Amino acid sequence: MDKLVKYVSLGALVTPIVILSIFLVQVLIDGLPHLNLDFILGSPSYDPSKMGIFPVIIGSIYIVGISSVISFLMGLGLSIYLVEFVTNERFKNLVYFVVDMLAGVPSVVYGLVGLGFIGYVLGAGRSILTGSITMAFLILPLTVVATLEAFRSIPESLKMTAYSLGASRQEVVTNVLIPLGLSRALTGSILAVARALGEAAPILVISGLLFTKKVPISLLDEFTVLPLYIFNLVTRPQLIYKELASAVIIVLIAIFMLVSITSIYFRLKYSYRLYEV
Amino acid sequence: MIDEKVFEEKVRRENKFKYLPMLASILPAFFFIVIISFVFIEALAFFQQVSIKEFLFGFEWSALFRDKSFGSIPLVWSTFVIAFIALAFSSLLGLGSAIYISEYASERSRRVLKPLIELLATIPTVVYGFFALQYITPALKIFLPSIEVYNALSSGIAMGIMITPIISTLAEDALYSVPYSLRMAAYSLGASKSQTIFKILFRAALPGIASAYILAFARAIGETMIVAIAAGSKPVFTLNILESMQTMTGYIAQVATGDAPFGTIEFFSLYGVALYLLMIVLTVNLIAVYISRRFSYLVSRL
Repeated sequence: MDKLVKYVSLGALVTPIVILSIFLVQVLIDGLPHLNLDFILGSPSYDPSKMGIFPVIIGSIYIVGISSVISFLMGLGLSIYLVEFVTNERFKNLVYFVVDMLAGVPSVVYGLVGLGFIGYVLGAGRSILTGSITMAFLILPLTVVATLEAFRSIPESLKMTAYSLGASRQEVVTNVLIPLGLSRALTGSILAVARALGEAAPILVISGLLFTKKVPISLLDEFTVLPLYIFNLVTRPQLIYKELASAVIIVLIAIFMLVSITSIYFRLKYSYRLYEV
Repeated sequence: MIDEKVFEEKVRRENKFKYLPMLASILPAFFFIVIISFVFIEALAFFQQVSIKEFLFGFEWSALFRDKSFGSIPLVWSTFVIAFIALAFSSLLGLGSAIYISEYASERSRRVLKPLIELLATIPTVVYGFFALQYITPALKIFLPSIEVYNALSSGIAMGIMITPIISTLAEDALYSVPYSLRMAAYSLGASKSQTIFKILFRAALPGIASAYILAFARAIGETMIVAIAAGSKPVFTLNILESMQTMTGYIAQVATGDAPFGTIEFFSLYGVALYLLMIVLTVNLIAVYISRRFSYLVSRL
């Protein structure tokens, strides 16, 4: 019986991993032949053999970059305020509750509010600006988890030492909390970045099924992103588009790995080892 | 001696410094209110033209035809059917892997397995939709020849694979946080490992496991891209999961792709559906938060 439970549960763990691995191998087989420099640096075309995705990659980089920075700064501020300034437990719990509720809002609803409120009411249109602000709030709950964990893990004794030396709150925040917590907060935020990179639903609502050769430059330009482009290709009937979609999936995964490696690099570069302090 | 001037200057700076982070902690609440009230206001414009009674209890949804009717039951029904398929598919897989990681894996493999499972959760949902349409439906066709190209079953299965990491991560947290002393007490009474798992740990971790399922269910209800790609766009009220179905999120995605102009009834109907969806998902989430009050994996309990 014990053995049975062990192997059944191991099977449950392995099954989804195996299924996904098979799928990913299939994606690699279909997609790799289409992957070359022309594909990455070219522009979208109605001729599938000349298809490129450069404007789409730029759109994704804009959205992920801007939304990550905005949401990281908000998460940083929120965590510092709650960890270091607020003593009222009820206020803290209220903020955490709101963040949990934000995490529950379906991503497509973020898109509708982003398009309607930021896009039409505030007048930013179907632009990169609208997309990245919406995305920043969408990934905020994930960022908050990362930053809160980072700042909570800083030993109380270090802060107290700083205060006893006459440091002000501001000095404690800028000289103790941020240097010690930043690397951990950044690495934790990688999940938020991954979400921003992979989320298609809100961008679908905001930018529609845009098919353009124009590379977005200004924040008010129209744009599209990689996951949305996969959707665009998948919904076409011809087989060639499915293979191209596989190629875009590979690019998406490659960018994600690049971001992960960068975050590990940041961690190694900026990590303060606590026992050295 | 403290220099009065220096001291006052410090106090002033200190007070001023507070406001920036304070702003950051009020922003989420502000945006949450914006979300709720904006969707509500836009939905009001929709409900001025369509009666709430028709919307809630009507059996026909044909918003994009000339002869429009706005009965949301087919959309809501399909949403729940697909979410239940997902839950049925992932319930054993998620819980099983949680048991393995928490109870059988060594501490070292746990440290590898946990992030690996979390990594699975970062696969974009549009990729899952691609899998459903490209790989799952053709595989199902071998056993179920009558299956349509777009169908509820394959999107439910893809969604199930998608929410499995959510369930296993949260359920594992709940199982792992059961005090070690409870396990030791069970063993000392002569219980076997499986008896301990099923009779002691499950009971102790039940609220956590339950809320893991509920949160995963909420994710399945709100999931858009999988159903937009693989479930099709036929808003019909049917029990046949081999047929095409349209969920609430699927409808929103369909109208969004069709570029509904601002101000038309199709555009406002988006917000009607969104408000309904938002209310369902937030209620489900509230239940999960309520059940798991004692558990530490929600942000509010960190």
